[in-house]
Amino acid sequence: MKDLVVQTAGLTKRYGKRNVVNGLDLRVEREQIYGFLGLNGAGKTTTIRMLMGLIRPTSGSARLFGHPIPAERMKVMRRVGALVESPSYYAHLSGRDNLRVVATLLDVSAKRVSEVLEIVRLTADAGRKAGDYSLGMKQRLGIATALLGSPELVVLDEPTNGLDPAGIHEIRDLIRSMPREHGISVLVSSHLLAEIDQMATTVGVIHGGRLLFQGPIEDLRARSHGHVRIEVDRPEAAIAIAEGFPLTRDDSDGGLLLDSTLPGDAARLVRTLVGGGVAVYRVEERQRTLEEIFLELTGEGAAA
Amino acid sequence: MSGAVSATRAAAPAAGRASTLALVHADWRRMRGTWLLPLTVLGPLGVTLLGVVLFLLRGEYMVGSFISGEKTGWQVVIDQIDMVHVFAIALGAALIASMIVDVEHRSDTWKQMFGLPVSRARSYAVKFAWGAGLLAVSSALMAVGYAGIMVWQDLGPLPWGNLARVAWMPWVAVLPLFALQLLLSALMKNQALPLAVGIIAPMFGMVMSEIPAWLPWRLVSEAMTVAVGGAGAVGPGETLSGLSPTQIAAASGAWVLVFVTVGAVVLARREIR
Repeated sequence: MKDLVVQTAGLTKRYGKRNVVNGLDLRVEREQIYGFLGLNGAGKTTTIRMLMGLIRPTSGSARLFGHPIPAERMKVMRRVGALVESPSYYAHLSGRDNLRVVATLLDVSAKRVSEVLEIVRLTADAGRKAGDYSLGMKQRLGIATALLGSPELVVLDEPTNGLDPAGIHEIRDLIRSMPREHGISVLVSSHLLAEIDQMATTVGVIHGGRLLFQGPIEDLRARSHGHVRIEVDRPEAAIAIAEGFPLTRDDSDGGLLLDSTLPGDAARLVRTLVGGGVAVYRVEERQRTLEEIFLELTGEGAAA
Repeated sequence: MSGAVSATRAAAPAAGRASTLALVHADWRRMRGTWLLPLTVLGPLGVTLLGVVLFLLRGEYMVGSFISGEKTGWQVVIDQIDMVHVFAIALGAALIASMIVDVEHRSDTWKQMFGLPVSRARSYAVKFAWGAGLLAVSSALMAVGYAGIMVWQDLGPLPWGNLARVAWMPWVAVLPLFALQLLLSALMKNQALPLAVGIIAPMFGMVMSEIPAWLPWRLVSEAMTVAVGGAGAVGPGETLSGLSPTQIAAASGAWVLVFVTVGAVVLARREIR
């Protein structure tokens, strides 16, 4: 059995009559970058709050490093660094003093405070009041705080919120380097598929509080069984001739779509069409993008 | 991005829950740059300055009763400002309670702090201890203020016993109020209601002698009466309810225990959203 840093079983949180998180079975392995993907309001932050012991599950259980949360929270939180939702900071204190407050509680050195400031590139602004920081700088401060205790597991809730493109790039590189260079496991949430795609090795897709998919990101891609798109001179005639093939009209551009990517299928279809006197202009394979897969999984894109 | 994401992991303690001392130290770091520390000094300074103004306005009349031997120098000072002192310390308790927890409400740092290996109940108790400490400093400064006025107006030798009692007894008696205000302020994100209660309730407590003397809102004025009258200066028939210093301290301790325990339990069980 693999080494699980995060494990939940039937994790559920109910507010009123609504299950905000519904029977979640998360599994994050050591040194994985786990992308927790879902639209806003899908239940990502509520799940993370339960993992951090900030709120209690209505039912089900959560474990960090094998320890039940919140019961044994105190035993493991030293090994976890987190940025939950919007960054928390004392507006009246400088960036460095904000880190010092947490450093005191974690018993880490002033040298480590300087290190994390350097990592998120806040050294130059460390003396300014955090209340005067831009949104992106506050976000960096939050990430620095999460790294302060040299954690084994880093939980980052929407870490690139409010960052400019260069900042997003830096944070993405930083996150990608964590398992490789430091043996850190990462749970990173986002509502942006492209972002998860570029960082994560494993992905969990949450929608309406339920986990719709969990596994290697390649498996998610493999779900994108593609189509073969065919352009012909007489589409109506082609469909009549190619009876028995899973061939449909692509209404958007007048092309035809073969619902199969088996090489033999395409070859037989082309032979049939040409034999029936239809001119074939173009045959191409079309993969669905991850975006389309995500939309299909979440049911939001049924019409798309 | 530089590389040292986890440079000091080997040095980090394995279990690593934050010690009480670390909690105390962290609160000190949070407090700096807030109005908490200035307020601790400004409170007693303000009351003392009010006394100074009163002596400047009608000092001759007031000091007259000292010269004629009708009152001791201590009584002359106390008569002017003891009620202000009672009200100011109750108000100070409410303000300090609100500011200590509002710093977390406003910066939304509960979720960060309780995502660390920090005991919620203990961090609450430490916040209480800090507030109690700040109020102790204020109370000691208040005694210094009384002494200063006596020296300035040349009102005879300093009554050290009275000064000591006026420093510690109202302080002990205000702790239940502070614990209650801390509870209210911690429970409510919006500080308007806790502050309104903290300002209005002590005023009622000062004037309503029908409510039992051991209730938090009466304890402070009771303690003050005992403290200033310790030398037998208060005549019979005055508001002295008969609570001894020991009884006041016992009542105070009981209230503090109840309010701090409730606050710690509530915070420990609370959903941090």
